[in-house]
Amino acid sequence: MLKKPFKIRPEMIYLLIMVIQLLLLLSVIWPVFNSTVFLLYLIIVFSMVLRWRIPIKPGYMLIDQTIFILISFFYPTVMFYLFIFAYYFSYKKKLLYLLPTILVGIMIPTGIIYYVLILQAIFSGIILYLWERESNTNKEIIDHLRQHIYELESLQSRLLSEYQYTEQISRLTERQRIAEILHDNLGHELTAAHLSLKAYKALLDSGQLNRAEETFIKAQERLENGLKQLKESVSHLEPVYETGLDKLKYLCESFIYPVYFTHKGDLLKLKTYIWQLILMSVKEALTNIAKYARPDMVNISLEVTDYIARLVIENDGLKNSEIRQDEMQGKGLRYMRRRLEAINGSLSIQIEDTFKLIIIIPIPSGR
Amino acid sequence: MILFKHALKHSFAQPVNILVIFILPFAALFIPFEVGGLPFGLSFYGLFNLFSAFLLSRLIVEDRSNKIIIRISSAPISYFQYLGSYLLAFLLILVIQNTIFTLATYFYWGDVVLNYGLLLILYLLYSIMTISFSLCWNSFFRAYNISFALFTGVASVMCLISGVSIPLQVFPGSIRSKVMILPTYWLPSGLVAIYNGKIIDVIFSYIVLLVYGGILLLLGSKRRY
Repeated sequence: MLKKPFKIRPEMIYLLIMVIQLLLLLSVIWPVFNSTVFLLYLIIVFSMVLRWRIPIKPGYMLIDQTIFILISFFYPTVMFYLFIFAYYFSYKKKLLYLLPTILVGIMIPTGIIYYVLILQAIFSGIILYLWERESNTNKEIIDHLRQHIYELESLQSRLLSEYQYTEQISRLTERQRIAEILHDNLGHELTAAHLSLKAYKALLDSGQLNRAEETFIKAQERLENGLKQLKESVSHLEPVYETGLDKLKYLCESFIYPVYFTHKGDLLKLKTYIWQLILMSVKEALTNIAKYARPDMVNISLEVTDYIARLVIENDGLKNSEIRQDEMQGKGLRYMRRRLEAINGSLSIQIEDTFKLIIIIPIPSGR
Repeated sequence: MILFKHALKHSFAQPVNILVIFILPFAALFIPFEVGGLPFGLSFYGLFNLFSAFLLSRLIVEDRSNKIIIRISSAPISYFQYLGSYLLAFLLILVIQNTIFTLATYFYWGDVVLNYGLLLILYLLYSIMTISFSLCWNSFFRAYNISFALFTGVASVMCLISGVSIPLQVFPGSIRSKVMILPTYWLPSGLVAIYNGKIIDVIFSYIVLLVYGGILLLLGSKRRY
């Protein structure tokens, strides 16, 4: 176990100075020491120790102070006890409570020593109060920073783990997309040009020069067209969306419980980042189901309209388990909600006969 | 209640406790009268009471040194309940000791004390003070042996100069007025007041002992691991 480093804190110094103040008081009353003086001394010590051990509002100390002030009218020695209260009130930032002490000093003249004791008590109390205030402010700042660092670290670790997955998806998507572009656009033109060139050679061999020249021009046009399409394809590369659907189907098929997956609408409207969100959400939801529920059926439906994608993940595992909603609001769902909210989406949970996770993702219009 | 019973059982299970708490104090009965006062044994009994309280408080130190206090803090019991049960058990033992000693004084010395009720209350308050003192003293030490070694010396000197072990009359008046700062002083002081029949002084001694008990209890009850 790590040992906490020793650090001097204002409250420790407060206690130390309080002990010094009490010893100072003892030295002041020593020449007139008798049982009454001693009992009052013990009472003031008790009062201070009580406030050290049990948090009591500083206002209640006014009762103690008033009693001592009243006694001091009959027994002036007790006036010297009042600087202990002055120290206490100064430290607690209750300078107004010092007014009776100052008034008593004016009403009953006792000499300079009384004022010196009061002044040193107020001074040390205020200094300690200022120190404590600064220390508390620093503590709050440090706590705030620590919390911020903790949140950033958790977010960073989350992003890092997602980064790998995103990279993998992107690579596969890109590969698939390039393959399709090459096949759909450039492939046809090149094949046609290749066939034209073959025909050109055959026509040349047979001596049909006019037709050969026509075929050659066609082949040339095909190649030019192919080149043009290649340029266009490169400049208008579009992602392939079917990869996301495949992945989603794979997730459903590989899950430990049977999953019934349906989709509706034009999935081509979904951009890569939406697919990624959908996949992440489904993965998280299925992990939660595997962890907390024992379902007989799991339904996943994906509906795409012009403006939103609506993903519903439903399972009837709740009736077989005693997991409550608050227990399911773990980190995974929290992060999922945060991610969805970042793109103005939403996540809601419906618990009736089944546990239903409804995810709405807005689809931005235009490209 | 479980801790209360545990503290009682543990305290009675130690033979040295039985010896110091229930046998040795009665030797004080046979100490003869002070010159113009009560039997000196009534005052000397304060020394036994102080050591009895210290021996009883050993359980709290052992709990701390054996890390039992950490286990207790994780149990569904508050520190207040824990300490309260222990201290009440110790107080009960000392109340039994006080009662037996007061009864023994009555039977041995007869009507030497005017009011045995006042004497019993004085002993009760003195016991509260000694338990608090032991608790406070032990809170400064981790090992009981070091605590005991130092306590033996300090308590003996304290009792010596405060009139528990030696009659107060031996000391000059100037010193007598200063030793009232020691908590043990208020037992012989109260005894003198009882002997002289000064009820105000007796109550004064009660209050001082009570305030001392409160201060020491507050100081000693701070949780330490």
